[in-house]
Amino acid sequence: MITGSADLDTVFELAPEWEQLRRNWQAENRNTAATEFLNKVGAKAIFHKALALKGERERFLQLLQSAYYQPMLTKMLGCNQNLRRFLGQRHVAPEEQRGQVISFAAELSQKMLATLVKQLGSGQEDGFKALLPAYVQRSVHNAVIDYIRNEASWERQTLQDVSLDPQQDDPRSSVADDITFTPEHRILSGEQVSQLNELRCNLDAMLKDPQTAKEPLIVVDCMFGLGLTPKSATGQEMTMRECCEKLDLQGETMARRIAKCQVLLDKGLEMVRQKIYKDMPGIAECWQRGLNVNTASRRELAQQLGMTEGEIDRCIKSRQFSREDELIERGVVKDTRLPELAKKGAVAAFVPVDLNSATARDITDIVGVPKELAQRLVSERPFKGIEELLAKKLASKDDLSIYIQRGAVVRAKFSDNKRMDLNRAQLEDLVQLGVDADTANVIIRTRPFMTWGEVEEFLGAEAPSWVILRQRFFLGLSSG
Amino acid sequence: MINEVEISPEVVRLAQNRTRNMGSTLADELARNIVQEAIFNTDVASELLIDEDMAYSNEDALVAAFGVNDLVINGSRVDVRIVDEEGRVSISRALLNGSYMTAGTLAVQMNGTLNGKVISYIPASEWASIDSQAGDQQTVYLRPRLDAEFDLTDTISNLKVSEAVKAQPAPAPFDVATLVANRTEVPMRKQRQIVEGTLSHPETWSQVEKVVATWSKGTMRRLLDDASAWNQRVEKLVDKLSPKFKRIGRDDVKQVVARIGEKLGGQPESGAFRKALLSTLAHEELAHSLGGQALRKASDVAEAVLSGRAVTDAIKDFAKNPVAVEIAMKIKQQRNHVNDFMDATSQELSSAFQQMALQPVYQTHSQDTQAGVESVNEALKMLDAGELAESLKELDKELSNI
Repeated sequence: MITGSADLDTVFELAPEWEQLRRNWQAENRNTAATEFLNKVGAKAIFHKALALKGERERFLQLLQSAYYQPMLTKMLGCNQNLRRFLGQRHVAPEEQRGQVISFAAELSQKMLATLVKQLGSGQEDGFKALLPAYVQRSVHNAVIDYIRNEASWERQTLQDVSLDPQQDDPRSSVADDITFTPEHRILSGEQVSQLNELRCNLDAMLKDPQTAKEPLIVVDCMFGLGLTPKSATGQEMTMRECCEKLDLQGETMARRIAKCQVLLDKGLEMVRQKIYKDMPGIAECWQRGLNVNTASRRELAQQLGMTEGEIDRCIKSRQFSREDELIERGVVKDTRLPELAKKGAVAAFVPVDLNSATARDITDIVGVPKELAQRLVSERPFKGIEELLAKKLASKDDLSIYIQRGAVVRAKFSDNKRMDLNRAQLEDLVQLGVDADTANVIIRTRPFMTWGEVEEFLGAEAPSWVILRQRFFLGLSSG
Repeated sequence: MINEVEISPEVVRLAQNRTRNMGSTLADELARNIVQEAIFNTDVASELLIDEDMAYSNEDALVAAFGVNDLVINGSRVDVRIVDEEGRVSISRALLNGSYMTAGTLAVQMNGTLNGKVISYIPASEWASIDSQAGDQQTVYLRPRLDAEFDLTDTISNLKVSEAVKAQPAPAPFDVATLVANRTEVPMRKQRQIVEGTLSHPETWSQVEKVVATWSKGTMRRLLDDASAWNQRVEKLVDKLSPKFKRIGRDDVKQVVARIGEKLGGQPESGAFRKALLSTLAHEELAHSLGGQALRKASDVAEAVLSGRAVTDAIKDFAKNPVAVEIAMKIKQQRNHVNDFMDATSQELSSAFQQMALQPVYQTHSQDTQAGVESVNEALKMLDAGELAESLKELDKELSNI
């Protein structure tokens, strides 16, 4: 508890008339006691005391800042869900979060004190409200919202100006439709593919089963782009609007049609979940394991999987692995270690490494290209094809064959000159293309968006500029 | 709207990210934010205080598993629900008649995603009454009286809090998993025991977290997203491959892709995947025309060519008679490189012999495969296989960009 030098003695020195309450006060921790005591005394009494004090007012106010406002603010900020989520989504460690809360509380307590001083100066009867916990609570809420807004804005501005990794292409130059091109996106292990093949068979069977309700499954098929029925195309997710149109879902307003679609989607997801729970329980474990031994850093291999230095060296040297048991076959770990690694979340999923966009570090650590050559590859790209490495004498035939075996690929760059990137467009561009100013402002404040479904959900069913957005923009990927 | 409050777009996005991860409903999350905002907008002298640490809705796992959506205001746990497009409020019955639902529900009407107002209050007793007539339904619906002048301060100050219920023991993890993944098969009485037991035993929440990570709608969404990506990869591959492998049916090509994915993972652009895929399909294609030793040799040639060996070099590696290979090449030239896996006719042989001025040993149709016509035919088939593999190299490049 942050109470500084404040303690009960100071309180009673400044307010001897509160001594009466002291007799009932039996707390052991005197610092905490000062805070609790002031809370017990209440806002009105504290305010009137501050008003009454003349020469000692400054001292009393300092006491209030450290023993009243600051502890209250620290507690309120510490459990503020918006702040927690904002920091959590940015992977700020709990210890660091606590530190931020304390400094945030110290800063805010000064502002609260300034407000109180102003109220004392004006001498108004309701000035005590500045001391009410409800007032402090509201101030915390507003301060957190301002903080989130400012931080988000700063993040956007700085990310537009600097690249996080100068050796890496800005991922936002890819588009969401092209999302499968980003490394580590939807990388599937052999075990996952087995489960997905089985899932497809199961869903096909459900759609053919006369006893099963079809409509919810068709909505799932369309929304996720599973390609199980003629209504959907594989890999092409639909928004709710598009799904309503495709399936001709009726309703008086778009909001009602979307609500109907949502109900069907929820039901469909429930059906899928029940099917999996009954017939494919292994799928659950399969989607929990997430540390790919082909791409994990040394630190991750050591800390998350508990691999020894020797195991890590051998693992990086022998990459890539298509199955976990290859770790044994290639002498990376002993066979007794494998179940332990799997339990800690290790998975072996082969990852294609695009030499036109990967970082020099990935080219070295995953593909096994020597450091100097990796840097040269980065400086000489883009390549039109992998053979260009031979033509430019960047690699021998044998080395290239090894690099290919270890996952090196060369991809063509995606471009979409007809549409504008919604995640990077300027306000004036949005407005010029017909997006209403309010929507444009809100989009700029809250982007990036990863899917059109996300944009649709965020803007709501009756968003006025939806058609323009969908037709004239694409979604560039965020670096986050 | 009177009493309408606005929430910050940034907060809506935070809520959206949370619900997308968990697979819970954004509308309820926004409704709770609206109530919070409305409380912050009341006169501070009414002293409405939210204790954020006490709400079950702070726990992602409890939200995803049971659909809790509460706020603790001045010590009372109040449920919050959205008024849907039909003017109804709905709640899972597992949350009723227990310690969760003691102070009723605040109903929120949204206007878009950024604005909304608290518009009604439903006492816990009203839910209990509807619940008693719900039969075997999982969810109950209620059409509240919507009051544009709804007085939030007055309602909170006069909440009707029902009596606490008997505590339940902590549930077994298996029961929680069944409730989350297969709710309809758990009787309502049991559902309530599980919910009650979980809520009153915070030490079990980490277990719920694991269950939710495995079985939540968020996990199902991730799974289906991956299914969509994999199905698309398979379809794209089949579209590219089918025209090249005319003797193999589309479904069989799909089977081969699926099998290789199971073995090598779901990234067809990786070199190992492409090589395995094209070698397997080349073998399948050859198997429609060849058998036995000829098939084995032709497949070996195809694989060597796909690995980067020149066609003629690959054939010479596997054919023991280089002269037969030369003859076969002459015949192939006459055929304009059509890969039909046919034996050489006597006319084709004669023409080749003339061109090469060879001795009649080849005209005897000897049964000696080392020296006779059969050697030529074998080389001819290997040549066909090699050329097929060569033509797949371009396809291999395309697959690396699929």
